[in-house]
Amino acid sequence: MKRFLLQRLSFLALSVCGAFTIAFLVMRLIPGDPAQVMLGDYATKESIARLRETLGLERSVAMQYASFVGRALRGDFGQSLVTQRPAFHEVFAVFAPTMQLAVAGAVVSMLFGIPAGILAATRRNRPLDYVTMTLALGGMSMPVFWLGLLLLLLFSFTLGWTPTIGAGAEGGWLSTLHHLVLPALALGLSLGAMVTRMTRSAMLEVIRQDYIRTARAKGLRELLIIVKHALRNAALPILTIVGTNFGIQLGGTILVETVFARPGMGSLLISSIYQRDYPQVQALVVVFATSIVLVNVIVDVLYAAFDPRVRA
Amino acid sequence: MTRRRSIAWLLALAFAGVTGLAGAVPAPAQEKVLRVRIGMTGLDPAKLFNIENQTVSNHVFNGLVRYEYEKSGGIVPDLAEKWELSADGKTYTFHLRKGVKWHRGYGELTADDVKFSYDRVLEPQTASRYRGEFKLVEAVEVVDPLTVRIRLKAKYPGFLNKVAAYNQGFVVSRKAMEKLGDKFATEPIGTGPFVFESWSQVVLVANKEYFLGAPKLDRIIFRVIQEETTAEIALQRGEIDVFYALQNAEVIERLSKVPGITVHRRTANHTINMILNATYEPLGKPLVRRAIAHALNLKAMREVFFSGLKGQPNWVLTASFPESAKDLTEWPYDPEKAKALLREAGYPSGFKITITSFTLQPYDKIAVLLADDLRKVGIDASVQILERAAYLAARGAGTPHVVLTGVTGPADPDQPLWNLLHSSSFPPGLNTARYAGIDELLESAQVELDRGKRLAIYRQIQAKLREDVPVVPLYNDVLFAASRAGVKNFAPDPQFTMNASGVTIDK
Repeated sequence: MKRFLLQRLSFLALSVCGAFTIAFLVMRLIPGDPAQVMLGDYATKESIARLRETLGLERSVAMQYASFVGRALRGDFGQSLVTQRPAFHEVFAVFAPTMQLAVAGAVVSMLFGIPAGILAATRRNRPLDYVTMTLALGGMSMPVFWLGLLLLLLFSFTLGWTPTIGAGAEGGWLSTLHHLVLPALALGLSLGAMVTRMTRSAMLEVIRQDYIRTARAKGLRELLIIVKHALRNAALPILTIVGTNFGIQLGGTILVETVFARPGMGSLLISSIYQRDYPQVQALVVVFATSIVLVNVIVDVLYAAFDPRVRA
Repeated sequence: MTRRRSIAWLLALAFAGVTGLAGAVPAPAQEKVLRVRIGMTGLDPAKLFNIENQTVSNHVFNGLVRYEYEKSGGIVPDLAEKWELSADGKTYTFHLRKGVKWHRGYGELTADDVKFSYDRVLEPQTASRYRGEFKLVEAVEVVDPLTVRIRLKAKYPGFLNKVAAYNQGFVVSRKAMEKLGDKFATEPIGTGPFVFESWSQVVLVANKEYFLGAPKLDRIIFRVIQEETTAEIALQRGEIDVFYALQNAEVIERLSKVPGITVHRRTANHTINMILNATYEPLGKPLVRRAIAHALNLKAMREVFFSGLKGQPNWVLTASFPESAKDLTEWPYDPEKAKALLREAGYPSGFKITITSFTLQPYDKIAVLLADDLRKVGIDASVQILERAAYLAARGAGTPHVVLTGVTGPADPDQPLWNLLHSSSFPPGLNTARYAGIDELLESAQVELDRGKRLAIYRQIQAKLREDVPVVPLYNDVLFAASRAGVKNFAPDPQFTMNASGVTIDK
């Protein structure tokens, strides 16, 4: 188990380094100059040159990379070019609302997806199966953005049950939860559709196995058979999809944050890319990549917990 | 200054004033809260850009003078209670108000702060984006603690516009700037009606010691709402009080019909122009440029595509400028005439042209409309849409045939015209048309003290632009904002910003 964990963690470090390097290079390879963007339409040649020098952009990309990695190893990820504040400081200011949203979205996707998938599998090729699968297909095809607006129109505008904008952090945890309901639904429902399909097919595999027939022959209650014998064995593929979904979910927060005007890493990433705020984008990519890889390491560890064969 | 960048933001985000989050955080009974939050990048006046930053700065800083948009429309005292101009028109002496206090205990305003602020803009080390605005300033001198003298290199009747409460005209505290350094941009210290309280959620609190009296609102909170439909719902639910900078025609129309919601409409000093690069051979010919002006069905663009929400721009100076020659209208849509002019210019079968624009509503879409009109008269037009920073880089290189550029500015007509069309405004700058036809006129208008004569020169400039067509002004932006019942004295201004100092909210 220890060796397994070490292996996974070194994989984490490698993935984050890779993601960072790609972000570093891509930001510098695409056209556009941060100094020009920052100084705007009336900047003189001298002021652009001066700012580029201040920002260290006059050096070669390799030099910039070396110096950045050197500083990053000492824990210094640089300052945002735009706000002049430490880039990581800016990320962590909006880390909580994004993670709350991503985790709540994952929970919603499982709450809806797993029961719906089980239902569809146990009623295979019957009307309920078709209805569930059609709804799931609809859910997968519905853009998060659009779903969010529809939810807003129904629950905030027409019914007046939920707040429209923000993360509600200033009003305590109850307000935070209240503000989280709709965004989490928007994010979770579309991914829940994927979980539904995965659960259904995994369950169908398992239900055909001999041991399920044996359980039935023993006269066990159907619910017990499904939950204890079938679901546990179908858990691995479901877990996989929840793990991979987490990356998609973090991407989805960008859109959901836009619709619900929530502060978060997604909106920060978009504006930083527009501003060519290199250090800010790099810090965000490191945090995004670390979160995604970390969640997948957790999923791997859970695999091992569910299935002893993985540990071998 | 131009607002193309700012427009970019506006289109992308609506900013909104908010009150009490649906019972989640009820404001104390006597506290009045106007919530508005926007995507902010920094509030150092020497580097200020984006409407969001400018709007917040309006509440935090003062200039020597300011624009009074609502009453006189002219320039009135701000930090300077009076000023004199020397007989030769080259020296301004400003007398500062006594006892004006900096926020957060940074002491009292002195002439030295004014000198520090303006010298800082001129100092190359600062890399201020507004250094050019002070190009005629020879020296800023402290006469005594409450008197500051600004000597100009040449007489310049528009000079008060440069020290008005806007961008480089804002005065900062020397003590605060020297103490805070780079942090000043996110912890600004000014003399204005509101004190900057927090950055991560932009909150301003009333400055009880403000020299014109404490503002009526206790706090202003700024929120980013990118999706207009979301802001529309939030406004109607009372989660926000003011929805600033609406762009979406459907949202504007729906909100106009909601009882209790007021939609404000204001013509902004802002035109969007199609810049014709004269170094590209066909566009170097005035006949070709005139043909293009006749080929574009701009009226249809404004009335159908923009649902009538944009104005007719005339020749760069919008109707909001007193100097605008309203009878010098755009060339009428006449494709036959355009074809005839092309034949006359020696291009009977047209030529190839690329319109370069960027990935933002509506600039990407109007490029397509323009290309379509050009193709109808036989010009082989294509469209190149770039991401914004890439667009800026291409425009800075001056290579695209046609780009779309917006210009705006304070009430001074010199700024948009000079920045867009004076030969010194490229490179770097906006004159990618490489036009030099109004240099002398612009220069003579700058030093003409007689108002009547200045008006005549500006008229001549607009007539010349109409003849030469270095750029085709496409439309004039109109700024929309909406407020809830109970919000009083709210008004957007023609700079695309607003000031909530006089705003009150009845709960």
